[in-house]
Amino acid sequence: MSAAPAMVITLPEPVLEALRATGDAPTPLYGRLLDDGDVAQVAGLAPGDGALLGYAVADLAAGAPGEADGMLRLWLDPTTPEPVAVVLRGGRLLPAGCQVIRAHRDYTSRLKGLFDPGRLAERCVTLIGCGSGGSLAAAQLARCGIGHMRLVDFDRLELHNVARHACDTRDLGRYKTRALRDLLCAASPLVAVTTFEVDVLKDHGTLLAAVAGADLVVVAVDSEPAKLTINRACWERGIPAVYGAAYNRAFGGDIFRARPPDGPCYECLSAVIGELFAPPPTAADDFAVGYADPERMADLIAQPGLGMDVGVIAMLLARVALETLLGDDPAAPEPLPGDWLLFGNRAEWIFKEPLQRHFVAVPRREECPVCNYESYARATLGMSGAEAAAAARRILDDAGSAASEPG
Amino acid sequence: MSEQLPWYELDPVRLVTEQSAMKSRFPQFRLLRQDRDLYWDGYLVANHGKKYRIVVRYPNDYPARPPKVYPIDPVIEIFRDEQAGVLQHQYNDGELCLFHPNDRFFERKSTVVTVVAAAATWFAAYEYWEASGRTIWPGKEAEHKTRQ
Repeated sequence: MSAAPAMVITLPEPVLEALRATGDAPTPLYGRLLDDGDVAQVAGLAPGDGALLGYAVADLAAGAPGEADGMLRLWLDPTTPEPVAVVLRGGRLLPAGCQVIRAHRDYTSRLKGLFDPGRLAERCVTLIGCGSGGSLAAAQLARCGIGHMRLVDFDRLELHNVARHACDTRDLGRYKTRALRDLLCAASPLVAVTTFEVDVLKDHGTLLAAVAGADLVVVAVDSEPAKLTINRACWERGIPAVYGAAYNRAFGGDIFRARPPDGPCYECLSAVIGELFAPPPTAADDFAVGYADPERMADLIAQPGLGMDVGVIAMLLARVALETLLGDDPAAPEPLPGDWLLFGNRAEWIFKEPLQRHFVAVPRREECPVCNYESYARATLGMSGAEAAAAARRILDDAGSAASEPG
Repeated sequence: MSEQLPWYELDPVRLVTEQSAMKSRFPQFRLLRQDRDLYWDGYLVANHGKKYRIVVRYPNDYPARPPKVYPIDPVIEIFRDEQAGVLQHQYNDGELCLFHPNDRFFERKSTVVTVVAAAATWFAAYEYWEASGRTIWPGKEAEHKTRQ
């Protein structure tokens, strides 16, 4: 058995390539020193990359001017791809282990055989709603190797969020988008994240910018008007969307997906949900009338609910999102039997026992004003969409101005 | 910052339907326009002939949320706590509370007519309350918060 290394050094492949390109020696190495010198994580070659950890040297025995006890020396052996490293301790040079971090090859190595992670590197997913459910789902999606994520939310992280959120107390007071961005970037070296700190009901232009060109939109907002607005924006642009919802006290939740131009859209689900079941108790039910107004969202007290119960729904949301993103990839996870998945953490509402699930086939509505407009116009007014638009224009032209007296 | 197209441009069929329904059921109301906003202005007449002028405003996200009804003439403010400025059966901006937002009273297939009819019921309750010496309001009351 060989002796344990005196220090483990992690070296990102881009830093190694930069070292080979410069050819200079000695070159200072910067990063983080952890666990009383047991681990040195090299982050880069500039002082802004962290503390001075040691030097890349031309000769392991010679060292570098200015080095101190505990620092590492790295030698790029031209005959092997792996650098040789030592650490200086008490005037002695001790052998150290060096792990080159090859992000694209190493990070998704445990996904091989499940699906082709390389397919996700160029994919872009927009998450709207970075609360507990959205953040937990996003953390899983990033870990699948998705290359681009956009995060949309106007809220900041408070202490009562933390018990269920993917982010923690170090992020208190921050926008949830920015805290989650840092978490995702720390969780996956493959992801690039853009954030939008807006309310999608108030800034439609930013909503459109956030979904433009996305391969999938994951919707994890509470507000029904926001979901309907997002549905219209995504459907009109042919962007698939997955909607997650947790019920009151997270006794259960559901996930619905819309895949234009086929199948039902969220407006279809919203219109028929009452015909399929008595409506599920929602988080809004425990609150006064003002709750339904998004203007009042900031006043809301966090709903009680176990983090693990919200987490189960969030994992299912991520799972449906991944399956939708991979589409007809033969190596993708098994196709889902329906577009609407309902899951009960506890035996309430339609769930006869804990941890029960139902898939429901949601019909596409013939009279849906979002995904079936011509049919809707014909069924409602007996005219085409263009004729209805002309009729509406005449009504608007005939409408009086605000100063008029009532008729 | 930009707003979404107004509801009646996203869904002109809905506007034609609304106008047709109001013309048929409440022809005494006129459709008015103020910038992007649309609202109906007109009178409801109680059984004994008293007239209540109201405006019925469409929210920006209509029909995800129902239209809002405001009494104009006479001015009506039913205080739960006058000193604190807290109303009952009305939101604090004067909007009439016609139904709980989660009771599915107003659904996709509903139109503004549903809301105006509910307002007529509200005024009947109001007159009952007046006649009872301002003590009895038929129906139950939810806690209200101020709407923006």
